[in-house]
Amino acid sequence: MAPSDEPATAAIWDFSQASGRRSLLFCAAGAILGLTVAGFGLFTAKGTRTSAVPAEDVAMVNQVPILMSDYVQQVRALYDVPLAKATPAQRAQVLKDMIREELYVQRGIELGMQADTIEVRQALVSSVEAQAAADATMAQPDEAQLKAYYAAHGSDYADEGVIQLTDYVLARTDGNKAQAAAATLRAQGVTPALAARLGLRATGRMNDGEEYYFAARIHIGDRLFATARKLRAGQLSDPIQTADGLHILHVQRNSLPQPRAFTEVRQQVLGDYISNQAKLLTAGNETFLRKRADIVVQKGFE
Amino acid sequence: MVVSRRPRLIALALLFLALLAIALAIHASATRREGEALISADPETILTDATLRQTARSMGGAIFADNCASCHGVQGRGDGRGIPDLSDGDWLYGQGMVAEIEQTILYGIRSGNMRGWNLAYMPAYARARPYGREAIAPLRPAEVRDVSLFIRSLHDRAGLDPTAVARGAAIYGGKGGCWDCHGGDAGGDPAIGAPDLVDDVWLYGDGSAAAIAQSVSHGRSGRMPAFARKLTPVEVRAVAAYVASLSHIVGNGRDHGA
Repeated sequence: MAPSDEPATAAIWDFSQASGRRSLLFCAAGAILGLTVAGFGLFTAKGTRTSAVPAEDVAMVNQVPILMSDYVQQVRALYDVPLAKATPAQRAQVLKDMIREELYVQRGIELGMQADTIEVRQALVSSVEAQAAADATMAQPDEAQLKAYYAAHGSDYADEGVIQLTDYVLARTDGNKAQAAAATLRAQGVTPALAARLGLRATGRMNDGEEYYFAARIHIGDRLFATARKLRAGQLSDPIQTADGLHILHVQRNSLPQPRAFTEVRQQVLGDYISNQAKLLTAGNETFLRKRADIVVQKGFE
Repeated sequence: MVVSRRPRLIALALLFLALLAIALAIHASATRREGEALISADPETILTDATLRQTARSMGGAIFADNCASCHGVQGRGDGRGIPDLSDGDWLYGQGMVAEIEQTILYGIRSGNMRGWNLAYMPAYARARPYGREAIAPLRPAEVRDVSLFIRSLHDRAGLDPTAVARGAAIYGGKGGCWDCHGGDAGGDPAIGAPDLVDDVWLYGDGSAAAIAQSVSHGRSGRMPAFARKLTPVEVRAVAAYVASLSHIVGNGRDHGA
């Protein structure tokens, strides 16, 4: 008598009994699930050739994507219309141009253009440097790091000092006369008339009123500026001998560089911090490239 | 005979896991389809389509919170110290279109990415060399004050010395070269990121003559990182649409609501 199906079906789902069929069923289900997962991973993995263009791309050229966002921007840049308002001819032209560009880039790499063409080489160097520094440019330092950088580079974030002075010169090189003139000016107060009577002539180098420190240094030179910087408003310098005579400086205003508050310069500090980190990363990248490269130098040129 | 419950429990557990896996797969598939719909759409139509707008706001909002809020603030209002307010409808670069915002997110501003915005920055006129890219003459302290007063006068002339304002106007259009970026009408140039000096939106400070003088003296060059290698194209599209929605008015002048 042949066994009926009903007892066999009941046995499959009777977990109190061992069932070969049930085991095979579960094995088959597991195999199908595993194949599905593997297939999904295989066909969506980067580098896998597919005939479907991912949604974020407008085209693939030898599996290199052309981004949809770049395509949209290019349409707008060329025709000054959003994508929805571009004509089919306009869209086709932009896509054709972008595909052409990609083909030529790939061909250039095939032909080794980077070895010969200076512009390509420079662009590649810049791109690799930017890529090496990408981690730094993407990073968001915390406030403690920024404040530490600000504290270490305080002079970079100070106001420029401002000074206003008159530069008098005595053409004759009589040191005693110059000392006497300075003493008289201090005693009686500095006025242009008194200075003229004492034989002093204003050079006119600082005739435009207040100047920033860097400008004053250019106008009157490092030596005179170094003296002027130490004087306060109303003070007169001792005579200073230079090639064109004896100079006496009368300072009308002197505002020293003032540090700017962190909150005021935070953006600048952030930019400088990131630039500094990028330089470190770029230098590190170069060290890494040199280490792993096989570099041989001609004798005598080491 | 006592029937063992263990095999049944194992079977139930396997069934539960299978159902969970299927549910996750369905959810992932749905999310993927939403993302594909978002990336396939014309960016400027996203906020006019209810379904796409909802997708962009929910997806983009979460991405904004994780990646952008640390600088731009949770509501995108900026900080008045160089981080722009993304909700005021005033755009430094472009006109606030989703595609333009997308490009800025992808490639940044002065980010080191060659495709990012980096056409110009505000010179520091109180430095010996105000601008690194070309020769510009520095200004004197009095000239900085005058041109700052002139810019302030574009908003409110009350209490300002008209002679100083006139001197400032001459500097703006002459020695300072300010017109070259900010325009002869001081209306700015979104093609290079030169701010409009006539509106009431101030990236730095409160628009007072002193605050303006700080910018003129020390220069400005804000920076935004490039997210091309951090976010997927779908995520960039979503957050770009989300940012555009913050300002209510999206390039084409239509109000799409908050």
